[in-house]
Amino acid sequence: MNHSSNEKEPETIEPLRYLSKTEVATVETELLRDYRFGQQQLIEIWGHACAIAITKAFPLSSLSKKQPTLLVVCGPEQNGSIGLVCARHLRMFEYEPTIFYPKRSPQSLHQDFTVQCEKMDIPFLSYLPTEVQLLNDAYNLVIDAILGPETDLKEVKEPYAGMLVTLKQVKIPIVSVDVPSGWDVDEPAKDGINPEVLISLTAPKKCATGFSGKHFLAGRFLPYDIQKKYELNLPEFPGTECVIEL
Amino acid sequence: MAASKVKQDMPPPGGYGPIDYRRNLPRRGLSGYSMFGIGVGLMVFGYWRLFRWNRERRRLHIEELEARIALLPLLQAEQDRRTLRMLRENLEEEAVIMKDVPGWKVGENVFHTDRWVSPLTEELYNLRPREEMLRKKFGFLCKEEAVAMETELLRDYRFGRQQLTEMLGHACATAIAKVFPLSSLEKRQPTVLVVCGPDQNGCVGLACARHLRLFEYIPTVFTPKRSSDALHQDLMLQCERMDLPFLSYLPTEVQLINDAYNLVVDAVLGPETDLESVGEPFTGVLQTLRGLKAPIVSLDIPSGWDADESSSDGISPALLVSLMTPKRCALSFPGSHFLAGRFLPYDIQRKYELNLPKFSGTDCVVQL
Repeated sequence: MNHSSNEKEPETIEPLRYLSKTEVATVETELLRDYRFGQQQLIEIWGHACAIAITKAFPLSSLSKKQPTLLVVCGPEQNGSIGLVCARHLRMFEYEPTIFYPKRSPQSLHQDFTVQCEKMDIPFLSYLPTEVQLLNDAYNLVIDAILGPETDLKEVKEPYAGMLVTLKQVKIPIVSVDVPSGWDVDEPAKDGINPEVLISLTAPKKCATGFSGKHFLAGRFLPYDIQKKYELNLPEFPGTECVIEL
Repeated sequence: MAASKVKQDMPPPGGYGPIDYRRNLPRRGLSGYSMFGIGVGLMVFGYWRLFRWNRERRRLHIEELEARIALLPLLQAEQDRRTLRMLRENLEEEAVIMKDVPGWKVGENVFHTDRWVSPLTEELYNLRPREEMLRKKFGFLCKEEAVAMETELLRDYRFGRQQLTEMLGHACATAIAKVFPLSSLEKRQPTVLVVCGPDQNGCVGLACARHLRLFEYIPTVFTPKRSSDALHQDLMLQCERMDLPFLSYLPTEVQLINDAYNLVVDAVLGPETDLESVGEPFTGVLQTLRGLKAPIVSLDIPSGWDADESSSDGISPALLVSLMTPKRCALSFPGSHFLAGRFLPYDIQRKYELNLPKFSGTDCVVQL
């Protein structure tokens, strides 16, 4: 048997790279500064991709209650805005999201997203009931978009600490956006909330290495230069999808 | 031969017993008749259930019709009031306009009979902006309404231009990938030429080109004129950093374009451009595009067409991707027509009476 000399070697598949907190911040600054992506653009892409991931993980037909209700808990910063955009897209996909947005951000960008959600007739809760059973009965799942990789864990105070305690006790599945709230970006947490689905934006973070539930990677927009520079080795997205299950 | 003491296999003493060689066809299970009977019975049962359900469906259908009948007087009354109000306004306007004309009787009946004649749409909307009459007659969005809707989205609904451009560009790229999938392109390389104008249409074209690159096409961008719009410049930078080649001039030799590219995306002029003010270099670009054999995909409206009326001598694209809503010029479009952009709030849809079709699943494009 002759092996031809120019037979192509199979490409070694490099493993997916998990980012640490500083690397996440560097990638984002570079996208905004050198690649001139706008913040609005990025948040829109991420929110849309999250919504598609959620429809993949929890299709309309699989929800157990009569109404496809969801609770979206949004924090004050970028992670919260991503949650708002995700809720808006889920409304277009025929789900019925309800938003709980305790502390409105003063930035006009985030306020714009809030107005868009209000005009889509998405109800905003004024307080989160501490009775966990109420949440279990009313909603099919909870989307946690409270804290992202940019928050400093020492500064987490009310009302978020109370919300995290409530979320730890709910029985309905939790879907976390980017990083489960309360977890440190670099290490998996033992006593934080326990989401069933994690949707990593752009690239997975280090704390996802020990994550045991469903893990999606959302956001198919990174220029190839950045991918090569940080050796991200993102997997191939099928077709025209912007979400892939890891 | 000595008598051998070998043990030989012999029949038992007395011979073998009787061998039962009769046929053994055990009669077990249901008989054919009973199986047939069971089948027929199941079918009869099924038919009975079906007839019951059909009767129930008919009852439900009758209920829906009756609900419509019950509502009809209300709807008719509203329509009548609206008509009468418009006639009254027309009457007053007529009195003002014709006050200097001698011998003019305001509101004189144009017919020789006394009975009530329902006014025509043209008559009712005579003195109103043309757009209202067109909207009543056709329902598609005309140019002024498209502009008004976009302003409203930006101002009241606080959508950002970046957001809209990104969503529309992504949706356009998905539509192109649906109609011209990678496997259907004939040339060895999946090359696409994207021609982007300086305005909003061009921005959507640039975002579309970027997404096409991510979908593994090989787009090349040509911008005939530098834009002063910051968003346009940002998008161009993003495209450059995605390694998209930029052409410095469009070859007028149409055969070169036909040979090099599988298809051409036309994002030159949008519905907001004023057709009289289109000068060089766009007229040259449109001239070249008109002569192309490669399929053309137009974003929003085919460049060079008036947004309200279809054009016979403009470019003729194979695929038209309408952004947010179809424009009036798409009424008589013969090629494939897709609607892109699934983010319009329900309030706006109701206000402009858009009646958009349902998008399937999580798609952001739908074929019209």
